Amino acid sequence: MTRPRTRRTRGHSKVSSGPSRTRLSPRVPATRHVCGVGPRSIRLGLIACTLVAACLAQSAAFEQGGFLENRALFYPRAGVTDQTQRIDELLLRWEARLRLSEGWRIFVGIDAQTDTHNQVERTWHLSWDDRGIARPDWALRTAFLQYTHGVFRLEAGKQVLHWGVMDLFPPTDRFAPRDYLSPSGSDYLGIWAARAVIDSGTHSLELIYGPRFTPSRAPLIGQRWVLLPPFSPLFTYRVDAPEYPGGPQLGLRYHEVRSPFEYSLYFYQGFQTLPSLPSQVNFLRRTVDYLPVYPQVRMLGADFTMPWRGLLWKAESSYETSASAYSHNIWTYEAQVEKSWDKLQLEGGYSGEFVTDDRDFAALAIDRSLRKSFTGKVVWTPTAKQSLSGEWYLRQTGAAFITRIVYSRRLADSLRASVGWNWITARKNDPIEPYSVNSFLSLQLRYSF
Amino acid sequence: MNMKVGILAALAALGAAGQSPSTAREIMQEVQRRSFSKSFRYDGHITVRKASGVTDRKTWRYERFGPPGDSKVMLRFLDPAEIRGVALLVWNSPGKAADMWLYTPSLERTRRIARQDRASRFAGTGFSFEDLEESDIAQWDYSELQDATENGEACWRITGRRVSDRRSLRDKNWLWIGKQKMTALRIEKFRGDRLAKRLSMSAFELKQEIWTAMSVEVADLSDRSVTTLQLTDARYDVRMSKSGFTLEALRGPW
Repeated sequence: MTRPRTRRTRGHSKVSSGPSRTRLSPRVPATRHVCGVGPRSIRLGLIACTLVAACLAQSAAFEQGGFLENRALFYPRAGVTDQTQRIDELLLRWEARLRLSEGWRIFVGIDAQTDTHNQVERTWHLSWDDRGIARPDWALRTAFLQYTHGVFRLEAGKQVLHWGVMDLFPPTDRFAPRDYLSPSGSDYLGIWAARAVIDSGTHSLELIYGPRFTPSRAPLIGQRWVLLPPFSPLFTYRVDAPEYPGGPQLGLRYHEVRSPFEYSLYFYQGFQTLPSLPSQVNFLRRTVDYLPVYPQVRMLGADFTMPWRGLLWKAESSYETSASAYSHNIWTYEAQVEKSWDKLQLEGGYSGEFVTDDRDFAALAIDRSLRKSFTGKVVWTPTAKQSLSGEWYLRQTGAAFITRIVYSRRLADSLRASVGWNWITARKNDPIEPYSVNSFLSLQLRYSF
Repeated sequence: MNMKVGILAALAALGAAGQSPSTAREIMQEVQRRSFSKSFRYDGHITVRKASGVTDRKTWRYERFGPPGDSKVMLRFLDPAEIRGVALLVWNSPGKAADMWLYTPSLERTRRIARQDRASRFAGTGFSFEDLEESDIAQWDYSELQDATENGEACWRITGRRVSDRRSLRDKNWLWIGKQKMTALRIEKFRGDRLAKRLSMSAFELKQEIWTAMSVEVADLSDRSVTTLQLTDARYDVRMSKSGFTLEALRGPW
């Protein structure tokens, strides 16, 4: 196993790989933790949390749980920019809730993690806002207060929100930033927001106000999941510190169950959670500077679910517009059909898009990379202890194929092991083709408590 | 005047109680009347024994809001930790098939269960999704009333066929209804002519004047597994709110 000489300071990378190769370097000082607490505070906080949890554990009003998970990734081939072939990640997630009174509850979730690939910070800081480029070693995943009164519910604080009925990249899922650092699972990140819901059962109306933007955590420059355009090996590529937008995000969702079908309507005004990357080339200095920006967008969307002819049919679509030069006007749609038997579950569908106003710029549009493809999933559960699943994406032109096969087995009451093979293959000229070297084997061990 | 009305009502009630039901439908109506409650809650401890001898344990909390047949049910797993928070929401409506949704916290996804998929197993137990439905008797046709005995207890054996779903017209249930307790003692479910599943109720306790089976054994004859459900903390007419039985509540953190 070989590794590039990598130095990372609070999430920014500098990869020096020799004068004859493309160099990537940060241009500005590292991002500071705008909201965070230091090591001493963390230790004191943990001791306090443990004591409080121990006291509260006796109370029926307090519940807690979580898991400890180890994920090992093996890449048979070295990457284009990253030679590392073995990565190990360790994540501890703890979640708790406390019922204060009849209608009031508090929810808290904390993540603690580390890895062997420097994708996780080593600062011993608790991140409140998930705005760092690398994963924080300690992060407040959720912390919100919930008030319920009859059909009305209000949740305020840091919470995980997402919309849509589709599995992987629902077209209407605009609020939810994700962690795309590792391909082993794009986990959702919490956002600071107030959410009010009126749910009468068959009708519900949801209003979300997010005062502070939380970006998705994009793959790090210099690692195998980011391949910048090969402008020239003689140039140095630099990525500026991102400019996070300052305005609020607003969302409105209406849902109706009109048995046997149900549908939702969506409106969102906010920002892309993945950055667009306008660049500036300086031929004298032989530099290419990328400035990550998060354009403001507006989205209208809908989803529909209906059982018909022995199958469950789902459709979801959104139309996104933006005044920014760094975002497309784009119509995204997805249709899926499902069928379940005792031990077998099948899904098949199509995911498409139509760009109505194509603008020329680079972007980290990970969600768009799997559009215009046929998707499918099979889950076979021969016993309650084990399952075998396979899912795939086939580009409609047949030019790219991605599949993931996972075998999962429960080893003990709270211990589960999974082994998976992710295979990426594509023809030349397909945007996914450079990532073909990134096929990987994953081993996962999770202890739930 | 009020006293006279009260006495007449009491006499009418006595008369009604004294009449023994004579048809299969009347028996089932009486079963539904006697089990009437506005709500019901219990903690269920499930043991699944496979034919190979392997056992699996789970715990869920069951809450029903509304009378049987026109109710909403929330079933949420409490243990083991791996599936804690997995929840099933069922909306039973008179005269039509129930709406069902399954929430999986690890995926943060709510999945609608299609009516056609309800014969499939629920969370690795011997129960299917339709076993957890509480369809009202208007959706069933009851016939073939016979006298029988179950565990030494005199009972009726009734054949029930669902009439609200054309797909299951060939399927039938045999129900053994205890004459004394007026509740189901055993149910056998047939797929076509093949016996697929046997549910045996036992450990009856009189809870708030309702005979309640505190133990239910489900024998799945297709894979020879046996699932036992033991009820604890079973209570009727518990104070609940309708807002606890919505999709919002289903998605809510455990």
